[in-house]
Amino acid sequence: MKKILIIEDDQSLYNVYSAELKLRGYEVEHEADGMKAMAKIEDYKPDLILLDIILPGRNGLEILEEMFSRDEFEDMKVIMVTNYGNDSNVKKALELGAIDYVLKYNIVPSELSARVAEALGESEDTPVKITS
Amino acid sequence: MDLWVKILIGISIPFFALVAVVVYRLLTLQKSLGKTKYLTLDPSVIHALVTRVSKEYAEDLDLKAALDLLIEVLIDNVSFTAASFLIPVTENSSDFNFKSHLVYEVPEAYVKGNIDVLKKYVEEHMEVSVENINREVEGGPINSSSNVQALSRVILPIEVGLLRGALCITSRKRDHFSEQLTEDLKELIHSVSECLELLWGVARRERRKFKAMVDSMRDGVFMVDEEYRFLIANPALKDMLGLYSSESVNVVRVSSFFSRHLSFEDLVSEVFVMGKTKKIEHLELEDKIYTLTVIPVKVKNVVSAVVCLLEDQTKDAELEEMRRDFSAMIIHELRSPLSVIRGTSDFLLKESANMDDSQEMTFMEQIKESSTKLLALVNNLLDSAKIESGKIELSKKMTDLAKLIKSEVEYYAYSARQKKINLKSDVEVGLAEVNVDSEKIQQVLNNLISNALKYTPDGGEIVVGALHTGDTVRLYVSDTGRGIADENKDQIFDKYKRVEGGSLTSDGEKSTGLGLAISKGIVEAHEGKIWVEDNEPKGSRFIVELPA
Repeated sequence: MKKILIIEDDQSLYNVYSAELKLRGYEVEHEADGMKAMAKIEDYKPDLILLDIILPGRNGLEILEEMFSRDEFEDMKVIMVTNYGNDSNVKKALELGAIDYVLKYNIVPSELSARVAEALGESEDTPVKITS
Repeated sequence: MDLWVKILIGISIPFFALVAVVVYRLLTLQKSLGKTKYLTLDPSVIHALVTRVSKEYAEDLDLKAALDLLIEVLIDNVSFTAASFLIPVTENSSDFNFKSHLVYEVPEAYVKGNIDVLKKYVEEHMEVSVENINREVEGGPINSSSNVQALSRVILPIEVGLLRGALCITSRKRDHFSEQLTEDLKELIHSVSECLELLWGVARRERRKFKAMVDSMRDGVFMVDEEYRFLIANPALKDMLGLYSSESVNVVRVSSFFSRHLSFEDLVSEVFVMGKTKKIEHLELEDKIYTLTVIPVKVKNVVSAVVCLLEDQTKDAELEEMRRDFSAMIIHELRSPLSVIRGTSDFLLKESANMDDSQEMTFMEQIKESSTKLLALVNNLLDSAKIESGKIELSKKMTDLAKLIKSEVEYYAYSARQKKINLKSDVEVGLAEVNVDSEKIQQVLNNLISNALKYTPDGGEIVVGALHTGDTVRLYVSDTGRGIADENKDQIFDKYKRVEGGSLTSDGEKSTGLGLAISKGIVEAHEGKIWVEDNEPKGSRFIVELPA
């Protein structure tokens, strides 16, 4: 079972994202505190991370930068899930190594799980509608 | 552009005033001329001269030009060999301008003699020492072989308000200036001087007003002529250039100030040539952002100078940036509950078959909670827009604040208990009713109490109180949170100012900062005040002061 870590401080969003992903057969864990995110990543060793940008304690982009500076996380798959859609944030996240960038207000849970499947290379087995 | 309308009015008022004075003066002068019997000068000549002097003088306040004009008239009407004058370059200066109008060919010694006589006269009567003389000679010409000598002369003081120099008229003929002619000349100079004095007085007063206006401006204002001489430079400009008020502004200083972005000389000469206003925006100089506007000043359709306006727009730029940040924050805050509502409802619609009742209930509740948050935010935005546009309406009635506070404390009792916070009221006994919009004051208390609950850690204390102080009533909400740094005490009421680290509450919840801005608007609409102080021994105390 693939492991997904959701780093998100909005409990309601976590509730619905985790429910969707669990239904799709993923194991899901949660972290709301930016300061504790790195420890959680080291500890849980997820296959994929859904990462918010505005987090208490530490910005998601900083977490991304630190993680990809370490060899052991070189191949980590990260999808940014945020409500901040400005060009510089998107550019920076993709440059740092995120593989996808989605806007919360623009995506419903089923679309999010499709993006997760695609990122994990499972999209052919589970055809889903992809949003732009 | 408002400023330029002001400046134009500032410049045109003295001119209108001058014209009015001149007309008045001419009328009275004509009367007095009628009484005086002139033997050698026709009254109409004086009339024409005074008219011309007034007109020309009004345009550039130039004594030298006025004297040149006077001498021109004299040459046409009186016979003499040379007329010369000596006047200081500027008031109280030891540098003097000497000018001689030669009617006939004379030797250098003739001119020299005039200079000496005038210098002696001026030094004696003006009590100054003449150090440098700028010499100018017109007509003649000077011919070294000429043996003409000044055999008679008359020296006339030039008095405009006070003694401003002397005029010397010489003749190669002996006893040329009869007593009557001397009297006539004195009378003529006196008439012209009187007129000039009046004009000068008006012009000076207007100039003082104009200078006071320019000096009080917060923007840098300066005026430069074609030779880059600074005719006007106000204190704000000196401040921007980093000069002391006693230092003078010159083109080198100004050019080096702008040198990173533009050539000041090129810009000025372009405006002189093209005769059109140039505006250069967003000049970043020494941590500040300026706009430079160069405006041609035209006299009779010819650009005679340029006025430059240097506006410091750093604050405007900062405000603009704060507004942008604020908009970005609000957009984010609107999207957050929307994301929950949209995501959760979509999930419920698709997957309700795969959920148990309690899970479904949790999702329904989170939709409701998010829509409540969204509504509150939208209401706050509307309130804040109303306050900003001054459209807040109060419906005042006599209100029992003790009752209002009691119901507020009861309303928040549950939330306080959940955080183990001791929420209590402390209202002065016998507090009289006050005339306020009770719903709006309740909104202020809601904001203050809910903030206190957000920022006070578990186990803390919140007190909501009211008391009379003089002719005001004070409401307060004190908490035992982490307090507010002194430098942020004013800023937290400004919706555009984000306080560093201040937007996160004790439980990590985000805050838009709109509540306090709205509270301030409501309190100020009541002609009251709101501020925050440190609470003893810790936390903050928000105080609302309302007229009793």
